Amino acid sequence: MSQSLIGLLTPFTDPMMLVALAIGTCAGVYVGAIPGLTGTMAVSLLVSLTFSWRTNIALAAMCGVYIGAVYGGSRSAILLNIPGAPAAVADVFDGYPMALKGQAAKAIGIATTQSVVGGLFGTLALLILTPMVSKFALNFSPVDYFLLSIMGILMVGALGNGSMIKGMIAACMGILLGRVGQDYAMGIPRFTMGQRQLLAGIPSVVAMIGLYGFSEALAQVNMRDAKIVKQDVSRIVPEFKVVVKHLPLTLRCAVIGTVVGALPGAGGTIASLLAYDHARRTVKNPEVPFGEGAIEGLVAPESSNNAAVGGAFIPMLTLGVPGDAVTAIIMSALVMHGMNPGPMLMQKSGTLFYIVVMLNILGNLLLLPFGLTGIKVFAKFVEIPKGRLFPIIFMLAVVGAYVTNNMIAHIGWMMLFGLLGYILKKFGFPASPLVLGIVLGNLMETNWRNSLMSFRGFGGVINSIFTRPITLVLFLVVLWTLVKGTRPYRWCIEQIKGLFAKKK
Amino acid sequence: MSENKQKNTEGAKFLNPGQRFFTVFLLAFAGFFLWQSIDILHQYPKVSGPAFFPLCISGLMIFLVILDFVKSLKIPAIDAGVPLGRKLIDTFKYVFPKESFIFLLICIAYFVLLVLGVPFMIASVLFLMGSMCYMIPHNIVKNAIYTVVLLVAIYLIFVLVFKVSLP
Repeated sequence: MSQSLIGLLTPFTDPMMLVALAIGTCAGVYVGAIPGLTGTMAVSLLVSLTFSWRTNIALAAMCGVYIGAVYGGSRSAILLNIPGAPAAVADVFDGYPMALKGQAAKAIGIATTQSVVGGLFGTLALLILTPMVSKFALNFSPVDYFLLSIMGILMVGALGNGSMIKGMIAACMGILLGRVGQDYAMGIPRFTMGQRQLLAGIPSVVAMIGLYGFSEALAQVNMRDAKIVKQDVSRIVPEFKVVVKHLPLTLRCAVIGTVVGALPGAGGTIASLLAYDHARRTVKNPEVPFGEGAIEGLVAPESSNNAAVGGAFIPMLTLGVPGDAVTAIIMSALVMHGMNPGPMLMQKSGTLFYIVVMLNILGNLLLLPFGLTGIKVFAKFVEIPKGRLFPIIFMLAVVGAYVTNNMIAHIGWMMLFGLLGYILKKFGFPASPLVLGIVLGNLMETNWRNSLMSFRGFGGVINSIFTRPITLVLFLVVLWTLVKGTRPYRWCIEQIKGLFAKKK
Repeated sequence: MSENKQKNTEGAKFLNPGQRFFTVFLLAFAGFFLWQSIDILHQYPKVSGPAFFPLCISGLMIFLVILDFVKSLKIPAIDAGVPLGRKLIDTFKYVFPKESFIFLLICIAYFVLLVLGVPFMIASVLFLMGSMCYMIPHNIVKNAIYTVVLLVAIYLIFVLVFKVSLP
């Protein structure tokens, strides 16, 4: 029997693997749903727990938690407006407005099915495209990563419903706040005002908890007497035609998720934001506008972040370069178990690759029963009177901020960011670009400086744009994103359209 | 909040109270980063050094804030012609309506208790009961039930299952 068949059938021959996978997936869903507990944290806790387990069982448990947690983050994003995991950051844009309209179950239902489709797509890509995609990702230069992060920053105009300028201001603010602390290359303290506590920088997860959890609670306290929205949980499983209707978008976003997931360091967060932006650009007439509860705004990030799971395994298994934090932990666990992820893995222990593929397929399928049950309990969250819900949200935010590093100071950071997000909202500045700025700022600066070093100065960087096809494509996309909103561009497009109309 | 926001983003009729003050805050924020970046640039004057990137971003932010300010000049302020002292009071009232301000004070008090070393469970009971009873004063028993259930759940999940230490 070939290696592939042995690997693919292994989980079925070992019931303990299936049990570990099922428990892992179920636990992952709930861990992901609790703000402050992330998949990264759960998998890292599992590493020490599974050290004495057989490799396959340990791998099954870790894969299950990873898949479950990436999906689970959407639940608190939909129900509490707090992304349970960073990859669910884009789910709050339309998921929470849906819950406010009493459609929490519908939102969770569609998020579940499209997550499964996206996850299966990512796994299929893992199986088929592994050598090709990893080779492609390996060709990315620092300039490409820099351009990719600029693309992410330019999305800010699409993320908020207000002015592009305000979004960009908030993004700049996020980038600058992310620069506080020791410089990564030279160790020089920057913007710390001599405070040693600031040397480690601003904790991004804590900032996110504050910006989404605390600021939302503060903003809505005035509406504490508002009528409670009863959640319609009569139909949790989405209609088949709804799933089919959004299938093209799901598949497009799954492609985005897989490719971005395969880029080392990019991960599900960027994938989901890019997919959300893609949906906003391509879905011309959504039934509900984006930002107000559009299903497409939930389908896009959910299908892409789960597809990114499969994508993230690609460079880890083939190059030994983890796609994100969780695959980095899984990789170290595999090393502890005597495996050596990297180019030689396929030759030395090829069955492991196929085991991972089958575990991903089964893990995603298990999301259906685990994702579509227990929603009634979860939906009750949003039926809690606001006067009780906001203190609960704040307390969860306090716990979430504290457990990231066991530091009371992090609670203070969370509150400061919550206050900042609240004041920004008051003056019409969206909070999401600020978060994006904090997340992408590091990637931007690191790759900017690496580009200058690897291409020997500014001239070399410019030269690389016109000599490297990937760079040129990314540069053109950035350029198009920059100019497409301007009057001259619109004027040119109208002229071209006019010319074609005349010819007809 | 949403009413004012709608007025500005959709109707574009009046600027919120304090909008101009906030522009000053944003300029001060970006100015601080610009000044610090220039300071670092003197020591490490390379384009690939630690100062150039934040310098560009803070410069860009200042440019965008000014652009936003110029755009806002076309919109009349809701508090135009009002004395400065009154403007400041209006801004504070707009940013912190009574409920938000009191909730913020309760949250700060909770944080202070934790900083002072009060055990998490005790501080949380005080915070949850205090804030819930402020917002829903007529149902103290239900507030107490919510408090107990939530704290037991948090203890079970974080401490017993995940072995995470609480503040």
